Amino acid sequence: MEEIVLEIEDLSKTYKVTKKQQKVMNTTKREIKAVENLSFKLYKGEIFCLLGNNGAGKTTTLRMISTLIEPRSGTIKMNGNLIEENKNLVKEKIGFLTTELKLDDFFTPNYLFDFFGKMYHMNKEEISKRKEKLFNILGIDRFAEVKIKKLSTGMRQKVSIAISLVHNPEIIIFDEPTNGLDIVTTREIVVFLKTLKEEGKTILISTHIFDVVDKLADRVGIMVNGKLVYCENYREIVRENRLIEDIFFEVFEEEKNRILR
Amino acid sequence: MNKYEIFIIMKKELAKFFGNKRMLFTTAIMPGIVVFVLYTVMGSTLNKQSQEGQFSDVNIYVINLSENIKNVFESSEITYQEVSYMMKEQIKQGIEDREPSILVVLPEKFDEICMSSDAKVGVEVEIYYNSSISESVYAYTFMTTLLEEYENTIFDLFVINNGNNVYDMALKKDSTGKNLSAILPMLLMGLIFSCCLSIAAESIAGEKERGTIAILLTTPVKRNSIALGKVCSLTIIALLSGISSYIGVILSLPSIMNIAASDILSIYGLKDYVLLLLTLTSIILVIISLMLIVSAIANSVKEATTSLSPFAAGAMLIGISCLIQSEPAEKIGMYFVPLYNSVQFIYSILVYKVNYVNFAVMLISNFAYTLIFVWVLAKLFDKEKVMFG
Ligand SMILES: Nc1ncnc2c1ncn2[C@@H]1O[C@H](COP(=O)(O)OP(=O)(O)OP(=O)(O)O)[C@@H](O)[C@H]1O
Ligand SMILES: [Mg+2]
Repeated sequence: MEEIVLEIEDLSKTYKVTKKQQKVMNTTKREIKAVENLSFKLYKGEIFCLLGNNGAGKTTTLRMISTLIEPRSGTIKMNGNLIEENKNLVKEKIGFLTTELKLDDFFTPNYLFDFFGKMYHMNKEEISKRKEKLFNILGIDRFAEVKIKKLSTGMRQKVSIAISLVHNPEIIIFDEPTNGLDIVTTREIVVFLKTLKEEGKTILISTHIFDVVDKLADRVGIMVNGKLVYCENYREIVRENRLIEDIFFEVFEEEKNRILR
Repeated sequence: MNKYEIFIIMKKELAKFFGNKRMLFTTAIMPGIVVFVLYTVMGSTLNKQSQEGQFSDVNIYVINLSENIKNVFESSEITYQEVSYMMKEQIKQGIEDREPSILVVLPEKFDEICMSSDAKVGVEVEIYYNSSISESVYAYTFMTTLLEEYENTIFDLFVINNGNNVYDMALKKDSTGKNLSAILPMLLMGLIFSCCLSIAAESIAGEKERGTIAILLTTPVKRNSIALGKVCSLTIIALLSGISSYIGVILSLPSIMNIAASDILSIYGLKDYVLLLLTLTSIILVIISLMLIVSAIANSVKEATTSLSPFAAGAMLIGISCLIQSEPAEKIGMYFVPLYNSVQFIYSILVYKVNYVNFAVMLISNFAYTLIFVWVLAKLFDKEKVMFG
């Protein structure tokens, strides 16, 4: 049996809704269940794609796994240990990329990479080795000394990715890594993620782009309204000759109807 | 807490500041220039006004000038014109028609009346002037004072300060300090506050907006290190702006108060400057750490700026306390009050009333407040509602 890297069990998260939000969202609910009884496992060396519509709870889930926010209930175990008890170890092992990260305009990729390397307590040599490798693969070399301000969205995203991997983490958690990118850059990032998988990294990404799922996924999870309503091996889907897009809308409609009933 | 982490975070904040020419200019150089220009312009208009106030251009007409008064006028180097009683109405009309002049009408045989016992009843002196003309008013005030002084010399039993000695024993340095203390604390507070506001508002709220704080929080770096690193680096930046404004004030003094800048530099010793620097540092630490808390709670830079703005007005008000109080606060308890304590201590430095116990109380309590605020700030980094609310 494959090695379990992350084990998520019965995870739930609620947010309090402020009066202001109530008005905006047109509800009288005091709380939102952003994530509800979520359970899944992540095996070593696989790519798990979390699909979901806007507001499905993907970001919330990934943030909980990265220790940025705490679940209301449920457990997350990394290599068998509860993450809340080993936060620092988890931080060393996880590389997290948030959606729509806007790096400091003023700095160069080079400087920011060094800075975050130091935040992980890496020494100069380790940092420069790591930089050489990542900047080369991602093609950041060309603009390593150009201020972020002058870079395109795609270039910035590559820098963000490089920075989140500075400490060579075993588990990579990317929240919509191809958000807002054109097809060329998206392809580059997909290829890059594949090389990471080949290195033996475990990857969990959220996305709502089916093409990315088709290119990358070993397993697919679909979230609707905070619940994981579907979780399957990608190979199984291919074997059944089905499209991930069809499956998504199927389970999405099903869940919506269930709520209406 | 980790010194290395603090150092790296400080280095980044400072690099951002010093690498950004516009920021560097607006925070470190502009305040000095603004103060200098503002004060020089203000000073020269004031000087011009007071020169206009001299009544070299004012015609002083006197009717029935007596011998004694003539002596008084001459010793005061006043140029005047003796006129006959016949001219009275004509000159009055001239004053009404805004000619820059005043008319002094003394009774006939003024000296004799003054000496006689009738004088106790009151000797009538008329001075006509036009209150809508500043020269006229100035001459009128001057004349009134002159005559009252003369009156005192003939009726008063006591002869006070009538010799040729210099009676005002105030040294130049005392009056300079007094003048400085009236404006400097308020000005420094205002400028430091606006500088702190612009850098602190961006510092954490900006990182929240951009999402970089999330990246920082997923690294193993200690929350305390982030808080302290930010507080220290921003304090250095604000201190620069404080020093810059101070230099601006010094350079503009020649025009504002007729004090040579070199006088200011020489009347305060190195010790005073060290005290001033320490005081400024401690006050900036308090302001910055408090502002960073607000910045951390705010959801955007804009929100942070809006919620911080009222503080600036408050700081100016505290600065004004030096104008209102004739002496710096003496009670030790006052030196526990943040902001007010430093303003009062700057006041004491400027008027040479330094009390080292008060200084210690101020410094220690300010550091204590800073540590408390830093602690709160570090806690806020772990509050998901605050960071990802
Ligand atoms: N900090 C917060 N406070 C209150 N409610 C929140 C907060 N963050 C998220 N939510 C709510 O929780 C639900 C899940 O949000 P989440 O951001 O996890 O969704 P998502 O799947 O990442 O969506 P998207 O594709 O738009 O990024 C949404 O209804 C959202 O409004
Ligand atoms: Mg999201």
